[in-house]
Parts: sequence; structure tokens; C-alpha cells
Amino acid sequence: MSRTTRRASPCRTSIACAQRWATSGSISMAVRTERAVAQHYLRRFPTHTRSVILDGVVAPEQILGPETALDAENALIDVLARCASDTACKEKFGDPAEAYRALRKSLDAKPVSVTLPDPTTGTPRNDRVRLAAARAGVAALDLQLGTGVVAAARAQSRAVDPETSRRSPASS
Amino acid sequence: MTLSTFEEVASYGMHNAVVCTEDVPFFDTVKIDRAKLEATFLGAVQVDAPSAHL
Repeated sequence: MSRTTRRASPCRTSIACAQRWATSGSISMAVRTERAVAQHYLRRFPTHTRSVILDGVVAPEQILGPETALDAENALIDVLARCASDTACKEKFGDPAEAYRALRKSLDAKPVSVTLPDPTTGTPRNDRVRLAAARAGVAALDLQLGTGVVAAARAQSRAVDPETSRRSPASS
Repeated sequence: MTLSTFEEVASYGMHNAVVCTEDVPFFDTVKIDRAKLEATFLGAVQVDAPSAHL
């Protein structure tokens, strides 16, 4: 989500956004369309706007979608690699990248159900989600996906002996 | 559950309205490596799901 220095309701159309920019120089941009309009407006009328904050800018010529999964995966691998290169983190968690690969393999073979906290209140919800099935439905949800991975890892940590990576009798 | 909670914090309809009109029509102009996508946790669903509505 993007925001400007002053909050305002999102515009319904690109034209409405451009008109609001022209008159007030302040809009609350929620989607790519308005960000693109803002960038074009700034380019064409650089002296008409005092200040702007564009959060999460996407260049108008960039096609969103095909790279998202790759970027998310690379970001995750980078985080895990950073942990592995840190002595304290590695001592605590071992090789998290290997644990991640093992978790994925395990979930592919046998999905587990987890209870996730409500993302807005933090209170546990009774809904349960199977991670392997959720893969098809959470494409854009990095935050919740991360929560799901952590929850799955915790569930798996109770089901798998971390020393031998063998499934304990109680987990089957 | 995940989808229902996401609907509470963001407008899925708005997201799809923008992506499906401004990005999906241009998917065939960029190289999409499906093998690489399939190897990620998210997979190719972000390419396949919106494209299925065209």
C-alpha cells in the first residue's frame, strides 16, 4: 500500500486521481494504477507538487506477477542464509535452509493442519488450513504465508525428531 | 481461512481488477520460467490463476 504526506480516501479512477493531484497534490494511493498515475503526473508536472511519499513503487513498465514467487523465494533463502552465516543463529537453528527444504518435502508428502492467529487481532482462530492445499490460495500473502510456514515448522518440530529427522511414533 | 482473513485487511477485488487488467495481458511479453516457478513455495499460481480468467 502506498501513502502520501496527507491521508485521503482512495480515488475510484485514474482520472479522479489525476484531478485530485492537480487540485490538492495529495491522494491516498492504494493500487498500482494510482501509483502509475502519480509517477506520470510528477514527471509531467514536477513543479506542481510540494512533496510525495510513494511506498512500494512499481515502475509502470514492470509487469507484476511472473517474478513474484521467485523474488519471495530468493528473499526467504537470503534470510535463511544470513542465519546460517551467523554463529549464534546457526548454533540455535542449525541450517535453516536445510530445515526449510525438509519441511517442504514433508508437507508435499503429508500436509499438516495448523491453527493460525487472526492477522488483525492476533487471537487464535478455529479455522484450520492444510499447507499444501493453501499453496494455491496464498500467492500474494507474504505475511500470512510466513505465518503459515512458521506454524507448520512448529507443528513439524513436534512431529519430527530434530536429531535424526525421523518421524516420531506419536506424530503418525 | 487464509483467503477469508486477507479479505478483511485488503481488497482482493481491487487487487485482481488492477493486476488482471494491467499486468496479465502482458504476461506473454515476458519470459516466464515455469520450472523455476514450480520450484518455489508459491509456485506458478500467481501466473496461472489470473490468466485462467482471460
